[in-house]
Amino acid sequence: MIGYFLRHRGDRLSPWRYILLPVIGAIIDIYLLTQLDSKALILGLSWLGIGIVYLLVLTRGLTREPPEMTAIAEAE
Amino acid sequence: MTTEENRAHHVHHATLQKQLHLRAVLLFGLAYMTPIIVLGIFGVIAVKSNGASAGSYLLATVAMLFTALSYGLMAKHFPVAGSAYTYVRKSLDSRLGFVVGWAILLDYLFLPLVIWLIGGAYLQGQFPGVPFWVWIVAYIVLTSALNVIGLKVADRTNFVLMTVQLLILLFFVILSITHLVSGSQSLVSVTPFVGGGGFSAIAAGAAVAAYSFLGFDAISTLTEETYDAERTIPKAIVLVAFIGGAIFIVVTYFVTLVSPGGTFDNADSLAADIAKTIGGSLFGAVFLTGLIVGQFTSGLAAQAAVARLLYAMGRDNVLPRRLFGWVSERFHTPVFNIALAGIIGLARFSSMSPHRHRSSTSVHSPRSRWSISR
Repeated sequence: MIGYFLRHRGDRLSPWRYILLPVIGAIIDIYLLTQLDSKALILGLSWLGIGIVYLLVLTRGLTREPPEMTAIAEAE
Repeated sequence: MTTEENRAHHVHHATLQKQLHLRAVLLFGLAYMTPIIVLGIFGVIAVKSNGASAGSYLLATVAMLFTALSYGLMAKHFPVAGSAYTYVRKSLDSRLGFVVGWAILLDYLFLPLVIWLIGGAYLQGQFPGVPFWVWIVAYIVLTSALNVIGLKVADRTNFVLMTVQLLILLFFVILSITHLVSGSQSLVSVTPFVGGGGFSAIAAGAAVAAYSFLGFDAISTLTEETYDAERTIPKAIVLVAFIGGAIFIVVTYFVTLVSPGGTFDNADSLAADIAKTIGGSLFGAVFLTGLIVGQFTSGLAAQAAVARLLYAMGRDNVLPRRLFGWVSERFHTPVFNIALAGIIGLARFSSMSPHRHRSSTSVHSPRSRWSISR
């Protein structure tokens, strides 16, 4: 969200909604992550590892962008 | 894009169809959340919060509304089925977007399986003579069939079953109130909000309570099948978190009045025992029916959501498009993805079966264990 805000600075988006709101949300979500037990964290990190390897294959070692469908409607 | 990829893209021109209004999306979100499960894990949260379950849910609701509002804003800007995968991809970086998509996929892919296992455990607790796998297969086949036929039919089923679930919850509250009144106990108290362990206990309870909210984000995957999605989906996301939170707070408030404190001999099956206390064994059975029905609609919504997330990733060809990006021309649903979610539910079940006796000892333990370990 913050990335969106920074890229659309010209649109006069409210910083309260686009910065404060997600930051508080993220703090809470990270806190919840720390409450997980170790087995869940190991499972999650393993899964993430597999995903990153797959991404490396998909993008030939980050030299290409991941593929994307053409023409996704983006409402502004 | 190469010409070959172009051709592959044009072969599968069937797409998702707009067919849902606010009510349908809202009910899918609430179904995913399964409000009645607040009773399933009531004992666990009462112990953690030292009798301040309602306070924990209040705190969790406020906390979750921040995430829900954020999701709502992103759903407004990117009305696409990919949820967080698309949001990060579009607003930050395509590679990071893939990693986020992959990460939420873990959750989305295995949640239907967990939901069906819990539903199966409830059913097995009730009918110990029937083999466990029968229930799992029944859940998976019925749910998958409804999801393949399409959201219209899934929505109608969901509407009926959610009405049942919410009515049973309402009865639970009414019976709690009559129980309190007949015992001439006060209906007004701050104890369910403050408990006996101070703020740290309330926060510890809220950390567990927060997992009851899973689902409000998932309805963003229904974006491409919703009318006026730029407005409907954000509204639905926030409303699901809000309505769900309100239900949780009201229910835990009255249940705490019936069964106060933070130490119980039977924390895992506390709500079922309360159900019998306030409504007799008949209501005990009705309550269990509500839990079973709740798991069914939860599985329905969870399977629908993962199928759309896989579709959004398959359509981009970050997952093989021929399979994951395929939408049936007849049903306008991502049939392969729905089937995959069903098969995962089966596959994991076969490796879980040795433990089934343990999980059936208490019908309430699986969900509570799950909610903590997630």
